[in-house]
Amino acid sequence: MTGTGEMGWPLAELQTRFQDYVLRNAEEYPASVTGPTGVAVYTEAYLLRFIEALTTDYPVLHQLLGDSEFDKLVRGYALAHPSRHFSIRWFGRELPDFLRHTYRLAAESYLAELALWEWCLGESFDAADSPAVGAEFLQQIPAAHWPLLRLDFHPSVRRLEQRFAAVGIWRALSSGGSVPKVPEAGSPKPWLIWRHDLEVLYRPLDPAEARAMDVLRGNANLSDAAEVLIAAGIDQESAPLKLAGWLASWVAQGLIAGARIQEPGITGDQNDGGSA
Amino acid sequence: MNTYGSQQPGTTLGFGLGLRREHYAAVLETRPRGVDWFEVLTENYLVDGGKPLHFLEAIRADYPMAMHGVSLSIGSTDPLNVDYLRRVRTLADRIEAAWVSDHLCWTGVGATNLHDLMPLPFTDEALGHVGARVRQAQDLLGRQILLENVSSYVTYAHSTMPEWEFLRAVAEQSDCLILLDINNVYVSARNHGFDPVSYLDGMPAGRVRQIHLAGHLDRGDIIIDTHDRAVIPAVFELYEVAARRFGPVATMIERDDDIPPLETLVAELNAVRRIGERAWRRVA
Repeated sequence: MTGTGEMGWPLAELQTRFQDYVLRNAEEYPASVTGPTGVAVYTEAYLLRFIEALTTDYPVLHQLLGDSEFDKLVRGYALAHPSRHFSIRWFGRELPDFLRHTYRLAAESYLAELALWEWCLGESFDAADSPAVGAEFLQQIPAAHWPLLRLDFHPSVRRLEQRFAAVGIWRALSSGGSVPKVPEAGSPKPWLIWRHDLEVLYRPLDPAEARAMDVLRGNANLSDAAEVLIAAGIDQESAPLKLAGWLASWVAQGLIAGARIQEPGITGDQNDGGSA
Repeated sequence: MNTYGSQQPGTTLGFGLGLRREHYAAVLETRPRGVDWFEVLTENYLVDGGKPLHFLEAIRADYPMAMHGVSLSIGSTDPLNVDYLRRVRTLADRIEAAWVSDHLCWTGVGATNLHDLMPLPFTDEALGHVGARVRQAQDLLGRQILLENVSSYVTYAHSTMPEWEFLRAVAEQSDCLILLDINNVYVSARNHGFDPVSYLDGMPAGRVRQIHLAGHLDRGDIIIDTHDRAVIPAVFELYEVAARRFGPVATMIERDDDIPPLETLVAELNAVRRIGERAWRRVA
């Protein structure tokens, strides 16, 4: 093949061979590319660029693992998930899943949870803009329409469950604190991330509030959501009142972008929370 | 032939900086008068919403902007990414970009993105390939594009022409414009042992519509285009030659790492302005 290389491969083959070498899929040095010192610039820069990008996306994970372990993680991840997107912004999307498979020890499972938390903060940060409805919006809805109301949540809303309270680790480390004791797995606790006035916010959710929010985000109407709450043990009279209370707080927090009666058409902090 | 009606020769935006998020607040608070325009990194704003687009529009209200991308991959043998180009066009229309630029390179094949500016061999085959794709990209974008010379660390044994001949031929065949990166000319000249002034001599002057300046890392055995430090005197000297040759061309500094306070870059840009304006007066 060396002879072909000296003559020059067709452009497509040259690019494939050079890329394979940079990706370390191929041992064979791309003949016709002159200068091994120069080729090393590309092979070294390839990983460094991804380490830098993932450090931006996962700053606390990086802090927790340390440079050497984080570099090893990125190396493995880049081999398993070469970038397919035009923007490096999306390169790290599968890292939480990759971590789940890489760090199998139960004591390390919180790393995947922490990574998912950081990724969701990033997704919320540059999710689509949408004006949030104000308090007057609820007053305009006739009482008879309430049961049929379907909500449009703000595009920046992300819902997560945490078994290891990774948010506690994240909060400690991102505010300059020391690494807290590695948590034991517990029952899943619901959390909410969203963006309001350009700032990314988060707060824990009451489990019933989380259940209602999840079914409503799945396009159920308020009546359906009340049924779900009743099935979960909330009494028939309290369920609509609870929903109305949550809805008022969601509107106040900027979580609601609009609402519809069946068909599209009508549009219109809690203590543990924080901003990212 | 200029079928797209972008900037006419002889006009210039003056002296600019690459807009970086570290400077958003300082730009809005101080509205620096030493900066005539900003160049933005296209991909950073191909997001759905939030702070990036908010600051882009706030700063655009006060300054002209050019868009500079890294994902066109004009030299790749993969098909052009039409979805990407559509998004670039939407953003360019939204901010009324003065122009759209990218690099004369390839960034990946087989649907993989190396996120690096890989050099092309300078052959007739590559020339025909790139020329056709530039015309296609310009049609999809609805405007002429500027292509930038990249820093390179390797050459190809089967190249049949020097880089400046290749760039000139691409521009003339596809009727595109040139973003001449003076630092990249310097870096590649040192790495590959050619005379950087020959490069400037080889440029079609009427097509050079923007100039980049930046700092680099000199490792001794090789120079790397790092954008993490000030522009060196030798690059300023080469810029002066370019400014005399090409006249009033929009010129800016790129800084992507170890980013200093805005006023430090404005001071560096003032030094560029003094060199550029002095050289332009000589041309006049």
